[in-house]
Amino acid sequence: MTQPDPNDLPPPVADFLPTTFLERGIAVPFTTPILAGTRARPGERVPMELIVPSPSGGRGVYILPWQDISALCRPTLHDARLTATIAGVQGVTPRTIRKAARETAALGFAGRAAAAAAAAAEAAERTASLTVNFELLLALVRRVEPPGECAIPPEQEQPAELERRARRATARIAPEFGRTPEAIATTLEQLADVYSCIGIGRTANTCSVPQLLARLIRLRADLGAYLLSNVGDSARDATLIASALDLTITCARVAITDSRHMSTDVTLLIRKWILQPEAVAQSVARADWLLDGWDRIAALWDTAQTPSDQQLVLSEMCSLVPSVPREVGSWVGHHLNIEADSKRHRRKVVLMQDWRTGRSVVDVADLIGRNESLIEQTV
Amino acid sequence: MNQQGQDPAQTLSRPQVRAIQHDLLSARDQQILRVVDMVDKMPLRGEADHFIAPLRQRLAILRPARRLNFTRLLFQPLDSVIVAPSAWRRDTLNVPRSALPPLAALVRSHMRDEAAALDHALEDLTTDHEAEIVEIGPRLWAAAAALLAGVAAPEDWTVASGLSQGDFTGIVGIVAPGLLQAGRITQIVATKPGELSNQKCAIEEVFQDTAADGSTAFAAVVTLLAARMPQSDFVFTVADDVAVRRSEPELRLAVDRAIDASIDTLAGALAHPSRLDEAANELRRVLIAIENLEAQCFNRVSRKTRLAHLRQTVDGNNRRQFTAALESHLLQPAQSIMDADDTQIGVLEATARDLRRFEAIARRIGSADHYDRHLKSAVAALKPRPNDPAQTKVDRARLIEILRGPDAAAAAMVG
Repeated sequence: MTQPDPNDLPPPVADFLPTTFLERGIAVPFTTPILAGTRARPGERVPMELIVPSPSGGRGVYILPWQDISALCRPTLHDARLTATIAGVQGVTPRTIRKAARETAALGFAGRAAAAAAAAAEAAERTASLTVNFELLLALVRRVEPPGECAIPPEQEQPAELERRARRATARIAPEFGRTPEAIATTLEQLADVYSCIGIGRTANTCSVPQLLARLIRLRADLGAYLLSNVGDSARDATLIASALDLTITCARVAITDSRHMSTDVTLLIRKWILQPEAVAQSVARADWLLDGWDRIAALWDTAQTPSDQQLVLSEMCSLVPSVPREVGSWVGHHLNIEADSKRHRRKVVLMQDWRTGRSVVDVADLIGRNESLIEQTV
Repeated sequence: MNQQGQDPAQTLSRPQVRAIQHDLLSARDQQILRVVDMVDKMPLRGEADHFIAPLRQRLAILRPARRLNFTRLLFQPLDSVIVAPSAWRRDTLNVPRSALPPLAALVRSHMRDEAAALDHALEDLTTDHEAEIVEIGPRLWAAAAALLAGVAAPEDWTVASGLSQGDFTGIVGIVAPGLLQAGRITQIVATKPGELSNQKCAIEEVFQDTAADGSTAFAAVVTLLAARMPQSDFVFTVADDVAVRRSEPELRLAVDRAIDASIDTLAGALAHPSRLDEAANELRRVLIAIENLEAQCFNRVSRKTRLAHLRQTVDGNNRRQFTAALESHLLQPAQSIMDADDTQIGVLEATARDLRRFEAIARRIGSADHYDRHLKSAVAALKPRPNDPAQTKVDRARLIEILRGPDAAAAAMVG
């Protein structure tokens, strides 16, 4: 018998360890159980690719053209709509995918509660953008007005007077950038939109990224408490999630601090934006990329009401933990032990139970319902 | 129980007791739980047990936390083989409920101070306190097993239990080995299902030890363990292996007896909860039990016939329950879906999920075509109408998706 040419053999199955965040893809909130943990990314030969964890629970992932999702499973109505919406997305980022997810959820295909949550989240993001814009205007007034020109600090000013001072400030700096005051105002609005996820000034704790970070810090504390009184498979799952969380929280804090630091001199920020808007947007979005996918993991933990629920849900959470790409080293500027994050372990599965969730395989409709409630919590 | 500590049932006539029983049968869950709690608090339950007797099937579904007392803890490991006196037959592996009070009194009389200490330890505990049961139970079970194995029937046995003196020996022949192995069985049952193979040695040890006590003891312990484990066929297989290795034909017959007793237990304890979610859970349990027992049929026609009959009985009930619930809980309320608010839509979707869960299990019992036919009709009835508002179309599509899957829902949206 002739030996096969090693070049003809498919590559051995290995863990999916992406180098960049874009290669890792963005978590997509599908409700079809088999699509749990699926990510989207721009493809090499096709506009968009799906990265689907191996349905067997083994190592490796399936990478498919976006439109081939129905070859893998029968997606729910919600997922079919979401797939179509994402196919039309320009520039794949956590934010654009989130927007597509909200648009889809708002149609009601994940239930009325998810639709209401999507509408509320969209409204909250608009409010955050307006508030951040206000904070940038305040910063601009403080930066531009000569000392002693106004006795009242801008944050304590009456709205009408503040508006006058803001117009004056934009008019003063516009020539410096060779722009009209209106163009500077538009730039501030664009920056506000970019910063609306992480927040600045008084919005530093209320925007979506710091809120999620706070939620993850609570989750980390919960896991610490869980590990004090549990051993076995679930404790190993909790340990893995906790170590990945430690890394993610550390990196996200650095990314948020760096982005906010960039906004302390608002005129410098405007200049950067005018010269390299993409670079600024990418830099501010780093925390969003780092935390991508963790909202669902935290929401899963919140569904567990009893110790046995927690035990069950930990293995599912563990299967969703995103690996941290090496690119993060250049983001946070120091060495990180990423290898520790990538260690997954085997576990036993029981007859008639879904390997991801530990639930009975006949409860698919229930699982879809549970996934819809996760959208309600994370959209 | 009135203030003087009298048993209230003793002061009522038989028709009055029957009238109360009848009222309780139509009582709501919460009312039943209050009555049970009240009876459990009585130091002397006596005839008050008659109030609870007709409720046992509903209690098996409700599974309320019951107050722990000496008797309840003592017989907790034998729960699956305890039957109503009217359902008990000699030469089966069951224990009539009427035998429990005199047996408990017998054990208590020999334990004296230890029994009083146990009463104190059980104060404020319920059947939900699993860790405490695992800690306290084995000592009581082992002591009771040792005592019952060598004791004669008490003088008041017949009066107290309504059973003959001869029945005492037969019943103790089941109770004593069951209690002797109760601690180890509890440990085995507590093992995660995924680690069952690791427990094979522990199960074998239980069976090896019991085999020395004779075939009835062996059959009783096999039955008790099989009843408490989802994988009963695994238990029977291990028991048979032990019997073969010991080259004792009577032990193989005992395994057969245990399998037949398990079929009896399953048939006798069939419950039909009216709530669909509870019914689905119960149905899942029954399905697993039937499939496990069917794996033990081999070429035994009578056993196959009994299980087939059991399937038919369960199937008939399932079909009736599903059809009625589909119509009354989903299709009728969905007729006014256009006016439904978020809460009402949530209820309809939860009902659809319950129906789907129930149907997914029920079709494995039988009559898949029945469910297909009714679900197809339901899809036709729920199909979005051209003049529906957009939200209603989505609501309808979601109900169809839950019941029949995304393809049916997408087709309904298009057509």
